[in-house]
Amino acid sequence: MTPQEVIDSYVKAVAAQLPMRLRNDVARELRGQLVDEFAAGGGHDEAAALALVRRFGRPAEVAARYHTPFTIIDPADTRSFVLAAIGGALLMPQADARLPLSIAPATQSLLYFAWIGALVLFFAARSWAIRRWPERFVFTPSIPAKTINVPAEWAAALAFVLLGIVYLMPGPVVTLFTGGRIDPHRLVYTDSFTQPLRLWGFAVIMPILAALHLYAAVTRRWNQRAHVFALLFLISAGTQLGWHARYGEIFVDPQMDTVARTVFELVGGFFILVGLVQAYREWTRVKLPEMAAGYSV
Amino acid sequence: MTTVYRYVYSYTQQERILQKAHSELAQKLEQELRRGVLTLAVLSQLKTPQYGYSLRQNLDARGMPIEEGTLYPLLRRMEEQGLLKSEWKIEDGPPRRYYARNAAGDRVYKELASIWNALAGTLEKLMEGGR
Repeated sequence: MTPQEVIDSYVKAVAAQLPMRLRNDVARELRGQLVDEFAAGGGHDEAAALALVRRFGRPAEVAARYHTPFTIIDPADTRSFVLAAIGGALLMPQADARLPLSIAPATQSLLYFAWIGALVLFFAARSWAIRRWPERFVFTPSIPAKTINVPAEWAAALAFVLLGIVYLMPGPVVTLFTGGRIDPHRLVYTDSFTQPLRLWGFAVIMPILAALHLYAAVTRRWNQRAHVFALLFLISAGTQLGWHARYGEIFVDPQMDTVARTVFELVGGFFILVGLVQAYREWTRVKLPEMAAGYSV
Repeated sequence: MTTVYRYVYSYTQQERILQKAHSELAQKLEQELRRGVLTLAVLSQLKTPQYGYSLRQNLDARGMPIEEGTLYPLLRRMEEQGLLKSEWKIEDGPPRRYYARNAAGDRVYKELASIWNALAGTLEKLMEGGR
C-alpha cells in the first residue's frame, strides 16, 4: 500500500463512525492534517504512514473525540447494569419439570436474552431521562440504616406466626378463613410429608423468625448479628419450601397438592429473593465511624 | 552468594517496577493537568487564523506539545461550541481549514485568561506552603 492509501483508509475508518452530517467535512480536514503530519515527519513508506495513524489513535476513539457520542448505558450505570444482569439471570425461574411454575429449557434461554434486552432498554431510557431532566435526578438522602420501620417489624413477626400456624394446621385454618367452603379433609398432608425431617424444619424456623423481628420491633433497632441470623433463617425457610415443592407429594388430594406446590414455590422464592437482596445490602453497606461527641452537625 | 545475588536482583527489580509505576503515574497526572488548560492554550494562539498542523507546531515550539489526535478534534469541538470560526484555503499543499477566534472566542479567552492568572497566583502561594 502507498502511504496515501494507508492515510485514506484510516480517514475513512474514522469518518465511518461519525454522524452523516460530519463525515465528509471531518474526512477532508483529517486527511489534510495527516498529510501535513506525514510530510513533516519525513517518512516515505507504508510503515511510516502506519506508525503515524496508529499514533493518532484507534478510529472509534478518534471519532468519539469529534462529537459527543450517544451512550446507551451511561458509564456511571455500568455497575448497576452488570449487577442487575447477573442478579436477574441467577433468579430466573428454573427449568425443572417437577415445579408447577417451571418453564421449558428453550424458553428459559430466551428469557435470559429478554431480561438483558429489557435492562438495556430500561438503562437507555434512564440515561435519556437524566440528560433531559437532570433536576429530577438530584440526590435525595436515604433513611438512616439504624432507623427501622417498627410497625413493619411487628407485622413481619405476626406474619411468621400466622404462617407457622397455617403450615402446621392447614385444614382448620383454611376452613376457618373460607367459611367452610373448602373441605378440611382435602388439606391433609401425606404420610411422607409428615415425616419429622420434612415437616418440622420449616415449622421450627417460623417462631424463631417471629421472635427475631419482635426483638427488633421492641428494641427499635436491628442488632447486626440478629439481622444476619434472621436473613439466614429466611433463606433457609425459602429453601425448605422450594424442596417441598420439588420432592414428593404434600397433600393427599392431587388438586390441593398442585395448588400447595405453586404456593410453596412462590413463597419460598419470595423468601430467598428478599433474603438474598437484604444479605447483599448488609454485606455491601457502607460503614461510617461514629462522629466524636459534640461534633455532629 | 547466589542467595544474596538473588535477593539484591529481586530488590532492584522491585525498585525498577516501582519507579516505572511512579513515572507512569506522573505522566498521567501531567496529561490531566495539561488537558485542563488545552482550550486556553489553543485560544491564545488563534488570534490570527491557523490550520491544525501549524497550530500544533506553534504550540510545540512554545513548550505546549499536544498530541495530534487530541488537538484536531478539539478544534472542531471548539468551533461547534461557537468559540472559533473556520474557512477552507488552498495555498501550497492540500486544502486546509484555518481556524481563528470569533467575537465569542475573544470574550471567553479574556475570561479564561483572567481566571488562569488568578489560579496561577493562588497555586503559587499554595505551593510555597508545601515546600
